[in-house]
Amino acid sequence: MNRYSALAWASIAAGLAFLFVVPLLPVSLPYFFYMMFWITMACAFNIIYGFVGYLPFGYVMFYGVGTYVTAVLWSRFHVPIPAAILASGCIGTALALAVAPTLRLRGIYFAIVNFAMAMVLRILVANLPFEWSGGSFGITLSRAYRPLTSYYFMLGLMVLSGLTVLWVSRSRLGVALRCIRDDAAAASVLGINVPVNRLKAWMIAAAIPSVAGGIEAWFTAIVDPATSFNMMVTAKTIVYAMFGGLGTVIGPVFGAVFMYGLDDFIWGRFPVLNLLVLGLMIVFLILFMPRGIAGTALRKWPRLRQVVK
Amino acid sequence: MAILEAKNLTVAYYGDIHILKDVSFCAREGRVTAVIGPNGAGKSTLLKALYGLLKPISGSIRLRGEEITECKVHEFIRMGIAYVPQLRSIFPELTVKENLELGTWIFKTDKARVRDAIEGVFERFPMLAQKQGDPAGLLSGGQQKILEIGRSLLTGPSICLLDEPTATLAPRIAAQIYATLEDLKSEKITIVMVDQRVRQAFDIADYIYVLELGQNKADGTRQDFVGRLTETIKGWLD
Repeated sequence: MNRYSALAWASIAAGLAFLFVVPLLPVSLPYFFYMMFWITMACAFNIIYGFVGYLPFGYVMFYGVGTYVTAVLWSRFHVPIPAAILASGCIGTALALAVAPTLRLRGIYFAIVNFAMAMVLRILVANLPFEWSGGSFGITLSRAYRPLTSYYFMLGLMVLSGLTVLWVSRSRLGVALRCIRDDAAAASVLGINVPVNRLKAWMIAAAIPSVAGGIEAWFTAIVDPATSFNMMVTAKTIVYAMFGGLGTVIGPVFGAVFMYGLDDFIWGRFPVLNLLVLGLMIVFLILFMPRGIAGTALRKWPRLRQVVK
Repeated sequence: MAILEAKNLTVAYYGDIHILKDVSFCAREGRVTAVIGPNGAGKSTLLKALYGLLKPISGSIRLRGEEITECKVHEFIRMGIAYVPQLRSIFPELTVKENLELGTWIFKTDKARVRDAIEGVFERFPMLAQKQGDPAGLLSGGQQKILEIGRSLLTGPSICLLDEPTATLAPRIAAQIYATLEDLKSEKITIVMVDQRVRQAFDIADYIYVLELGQNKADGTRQDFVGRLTETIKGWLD
């Protein structure tokens, strides 16, 4: 381990230790909960877009399904919350498997179809029988409200998703995925089973936001179709991950921490113009740092490769 | 003896626009088979179909008599068939050695086998050994083609499909690639090559297929074409 790696691991350990004691400190618990939520989402998104090159514009659907599965199982079937969250992950993964044939599409066609599927799901959920999904009013989980426990669940999921990305990046699967992203035909000529490896990445990338959705539903104790299938979830996930540096392990973490902080700061200072200011900043950042923080750093200091990737 | 055989292949990229029409082809074991023809004849399409990159509308492909028409692309390398496409297929951001390691994908985690295979390629192409730490994208066009050929040989294939291995290369580099093909021929590796440099392809080939407008126009041994090669090429210019 060189000094850069040692420094990176020490920083990560310090960051995790801080997040662990956040509930004991006089700071905003929701702020750090959502920071971890966005880190988790950006890391998971990185697996399918950063490593495989597929842009799921309807990525929110996995998060949305996760929130509803947890809420419905707990409120209608009295399933304990941890089991309901686990079920969210399973059903989100099953949904990914069901829509896997769309992976045959590429580029903007895949993005559009995925976006359409998220919209269809939102309408479907809103129109389920009222006794099930609560219609457009949604479901409240006030009796299950445990912000502290759900905070630690999110911390655990964030660590798990970070380790998953690290494993994917360093494993044969990661090598296969990067080859598929760069040249799928060349990858298959080398003997890489493109559909199977792509599917593995897709299912991992779906499971994580589904679980995150379940935990977030528990934290807020309310779900409704407008929030659970809000396209801003996809947009922010993309921007945060992209800003940090897609295809790297550490990039989306940086991106989510920085951009979420910036987003929160702008929202606090410019409550009316926050989206405009944020949009301008994103344009500025993408124009001058199209590879994101990690990508730009990697280009300037190639020796950081083993830390960043 | 026929090792790779295609019968009555009809192939299309879109709908009913057939690029190959009822084409038949046979590669003999340990021999060099060249496919020549004018632009748009369907030469590269034939190679793609032979390697499973395009599924034929009709017809069949057999390897040592066994039907492989429906096999998936990633299975071909495990069957001992390597393919070097016409367009660049290296991974430019990876180093030369990393590109070669990818060529040993089917060896999984057998590190000794991977090392031996790469050493073998370095012996055959010392330039790759010298440049092993460089990003492959920084190699010249000829060096990249040598890297692609080297990578295709890592798994010890019995058949090599080469799509225009010397296209856009300087004559000196092209000569080096033809010399490599001569070496492979002497090692009894079956070679199927598509080439625009008809004269050089003719010199190295044992058997020649001429395609025109997606159809078999003529085929025969090199001796069969002696004296009528110029006439064949002239026909493409008319």
